[in-house]
Formats: sequence, structure tokens, C-alpha cells
Amino acid sequence: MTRTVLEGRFFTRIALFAVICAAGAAGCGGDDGRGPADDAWAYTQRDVVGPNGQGTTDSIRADVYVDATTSMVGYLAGGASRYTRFFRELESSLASGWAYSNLGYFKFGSRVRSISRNTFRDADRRAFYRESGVSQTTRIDSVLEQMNRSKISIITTDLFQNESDVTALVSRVKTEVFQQGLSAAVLGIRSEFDGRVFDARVPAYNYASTRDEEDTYRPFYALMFGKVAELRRLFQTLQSSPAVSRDYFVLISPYLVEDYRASVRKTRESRKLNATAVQEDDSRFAFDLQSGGTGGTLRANIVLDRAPNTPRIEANRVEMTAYRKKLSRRPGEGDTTSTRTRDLTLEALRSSEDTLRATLRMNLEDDPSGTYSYKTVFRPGATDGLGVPTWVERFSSKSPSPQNGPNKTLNLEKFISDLIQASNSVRRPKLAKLYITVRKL
Amino acid sequence: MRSAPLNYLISVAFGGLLWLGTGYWVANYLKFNVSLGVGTTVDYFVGVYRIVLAMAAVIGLLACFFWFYYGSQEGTASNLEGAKRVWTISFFVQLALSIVAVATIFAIFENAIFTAAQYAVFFAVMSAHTYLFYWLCTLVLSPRTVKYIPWGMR
Repeated sequence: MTRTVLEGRFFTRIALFAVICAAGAAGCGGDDGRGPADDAWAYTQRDVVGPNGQGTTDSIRADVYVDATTSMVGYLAGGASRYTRFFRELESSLASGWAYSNLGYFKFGSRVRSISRNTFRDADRRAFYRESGVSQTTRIDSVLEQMNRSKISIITTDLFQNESDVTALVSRVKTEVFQQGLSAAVLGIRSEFDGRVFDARVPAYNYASTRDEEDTYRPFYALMFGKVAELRRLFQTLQSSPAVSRDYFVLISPYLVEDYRASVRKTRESRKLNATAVQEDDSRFAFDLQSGGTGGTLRANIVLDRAPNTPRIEANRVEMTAYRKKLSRRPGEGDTTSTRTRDLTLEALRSSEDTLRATLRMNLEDDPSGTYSYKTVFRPGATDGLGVPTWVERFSSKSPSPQNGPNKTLNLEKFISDLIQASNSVRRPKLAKLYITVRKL
Repeated sequence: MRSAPLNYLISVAFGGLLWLGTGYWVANYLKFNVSLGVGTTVDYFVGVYRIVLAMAAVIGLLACFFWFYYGSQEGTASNLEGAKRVWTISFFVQLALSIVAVATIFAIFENAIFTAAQYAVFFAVMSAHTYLFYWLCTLVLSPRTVKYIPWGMR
């Protein structure tokens, strides 16, 4: 009897001991000493990818400005050209693309004048382009002066400008559009043409396109200003028009990508560096730098989902900026604001298709033990980081003449290139952001 | 202590303690010191290490249970030579298993770079859960009829 009682107590103690061990193991396993990493940054991609379809409503408010100078008469080409059809299709596209559309109409040249819808519909007649005080010179900058920034502005013109005109116009677009948080878009439409080409570096000359030979058509342009989401939607809507080609459109905004995916791995040679966490959906990565380690090399693979019809990214000019925050669990010890750092630097960058392959060098030699969180931002180069689409090069000429590119547009490439540069200088687009947390042991 | 179920329970408790030490403290040493492959995270490494460790521990424990059961059978007392053979085979099977466990870790983390000391730690840890655990448990907790069979008892 006594033996049974003693054994019973012993079993109870053993069971209790086992429970304590199990609880201890579970408790110990839950805390591996990893530093705080989740509250360092806002972890948003919105400043990279933009509104992505959000930001538009059921209604559109747009002003249509028609270049009513005599140089546009040739686009009538007998009255049934893509140019004349474009205006009708523009109205119907806006009506079908939004539940409610509120359109204003203007003609411009030497000055800007509001016109009725009926007058606007006369844009397919020669008389529209003969109004005294309007038809002499093209002053796009005067449109910019008076455009309503809460609306989309659509300016149809041949964009024939000399170099000083381009500089002045781009400067105006920079202040009136880009610095106001708006974006620009240029849609090129090749149209039949039969008339005189003015303002080239050679005397005005006659030019006539050949029916059904698109390469002989002369392009005109819809220059559009507004919020980026509205411009994207407007272009999608306009694509239903037979006159509009999806290839001849460029959207100039701070957003060049719609999405991106990234992976960051250490190199095999970085022996003191180990990955501790990988969250590719959020582009968040964490590493341990072992005791005695000074840094290592990381390879980042960034697959960009490019926004369509945006400027070409010059991969060899992509830059990376790293910002750092020191993290701490103890209140007051961590950094509340980030600082630019050279702990992480871009050693090399290669690109193929829409994939960037970056080699990052990490150097924490002078830093004490602790947890450091880095936000790395990849951007196109500040100068010449973005290029014009190839169609712009094809449509453009520095000196169109009867013998050389008679149907090309004077200085179009310079104009678009300068617009891209102006937008880039106001708000440089971001291509991707990676968050890398390093715990130096 | 040598009779059921006490010997079973003590071996479970001892195995649990051993797992705690090797699955947590040794794991922590390794996670802060090994150089893992390019795409391997520390959590994955520790997870695999603990799983392999647990499998080795369970096999070691089952071998002990088998010996306790086998040793308590009436027929075993009349065939101690056979029992000695069973114990020895079981011991060497455990030894082989510890090598397999270490090899498994190396195979899974073939791109990791381990130092000689880390190789030794892996083998020591797996040994502790297999043939050393088996030897120690059977040395102290074997049923009376077979208590003199494990090495070191005489």
C-alpha cells in the first residue's frame, strides 16, 4: 500500500516536471531575440505604383482646345480624315467612358476663345480656321495660362514648334502642370493631310498624303493634362476610336510601374550574413550579420510590371538611395526619423526586359551591434534616366522639308524629351522600394 | 526505477530535457554562427534542424522502449546471449541513425558552409539523442533481468 502511494506521488512529480519542461520549451522557442522590424516604415507601394485605377469617378469634366490656326487646315483633307473623325469620336468616347460628362469647348491660336458645341462641330470645315485674331499663331502656352486644373484639358494641335517655343512651352507645363501635381500625356494620330505645312525651317510647302498609305499621313496630337488616373482612363476610353492607336501614346507622370516583385539574397561569399526572413509580397527582407562580420553583398532581383505607354527607362542610369533607421525595443533609443546612408550602396546593376538585377554592398564596419532597418529606393537617373518612346523618334524631325520627312513633326522628340525631364525634375519616379533589416550581432 | 512504467517515464523526461537543450540552446548557437546558403533563411534552417533532431529523439526513445519491453519479457531471462545481441545491434543501429541524421542535415543544406566545430556539434547532438541516449537509459533503467547487458555495467 505504502509503495503504491509513494509511486503515485513520484509519477505525479514526473508528470509535473514534463509539463514544466514542455512549457519552458514552448516559451523559449517563441522568443529568439529578433529585434523589432515591423514598425520601421510605412511599407506602402503607393508612391511607386500610383493610384492604379483609383482616383477616378463616374463623371468627367474636360475642356477641349482645338488649334484653329491655318496650319491645321490641311488635316481636313477633303473633309473625311482621321482628324475630323477624331473630334466626333472624342465626344462619343467621353460620353461612353463615363456616366456623366461635362465638356467645355475652346478654339485657340493667337488667343483662346470659348466656343459652343455647335461651333466645335464645325472644326471639320475650313472656315473654322480662318477667324481673324486666332488663326495666325499657335500659342499653346496661352491655353496653359487659363486652363482649369480641376478638369482634364485636351489640346489638339500639330505641335509644330521651334526650339525656343519648345523651351517656353515646357517651362510653362512644368509650372502649370507638373508642379501642381498633374500629369501630361501626348497622343499622336496619323491623319490624312492635304495642305500647306507652315513654321518649318524651310519656307512653307505643300504636302499631300497618299490615300491608304499610313506612312505618308501627317500626325497631329492630343496634348492632355490632368490627374494621372483620369488620363489613363481617358486613353483607355479613346482606344475604342479607330483613329487612335495604342502605340502612339505617352503618359508623363511620376509613375512608371504598376507593380513590382523583388527578391533579395546574399551572395555565397557573404559568409557572415544569413537571411532571417523573406516577405517578397511586401519587398521586406531581414538578415543577421554574425559577430565579427562587417557586411556582405546582396543580390536584388526586381521584376517590374511596367505601366504601359510610359517613357523608356534607361537601365544603365538607374540609381539607388538608401535610408536608415536604427531600431530598438527600448523607448527612446531607436531612430524616429530616417537618414540617408551609405551602409548600403549600389555596386552594379544589370537589366534584361523589365527585370533589374542589382548588386548591393553592405558595410556596417563602423556601426555597433544592433538592428538597422533600411529603405532602398530605386529611381531612374536624374538626368537622361528616361528616354522617349520609339514612336516619338519616328514622328519627329529637326527640320522637316519637302525632301526630308515632309510629314514629320518639328522638334517633337525634343518637346517630349524635355517634358519627361521636367516631370522627372519635379517629382522623380520610383521604380521599386526594398526594405532590408539587418541585425548586427 | 528499473520497472515499468517508471523507466519509460524517466526516459521520456530525460529525452525531453535533452531535446530542450539541443533544440533550443544548441540551435541558437548554430543559427547565430553557421553560414547558410544563398536562399536559405535562418528560420528554415532551425526548423529543419529541430525536425531532424525530433525524429532522432523519437527513434532513440522507441529503441529504449523496445529494450525495456524486451527485457521485461519472461523468455528473455533464459536467453541472455540473445538479449546481448539484440542490445548490441540496437546500439549500432542507433549509431548509424545518428550518422544518417547528420548526413540528412548536410544534404538539405548542401550550400551552407559549416566549420569543423559545427560538424562536431551536429554529430554530438545527434549522438546524444540516439546511441548515447539509448546506452545511458538502458544502463540506468533496464529491467532487472537485463540490467547487466548494457556496456559499462559490469
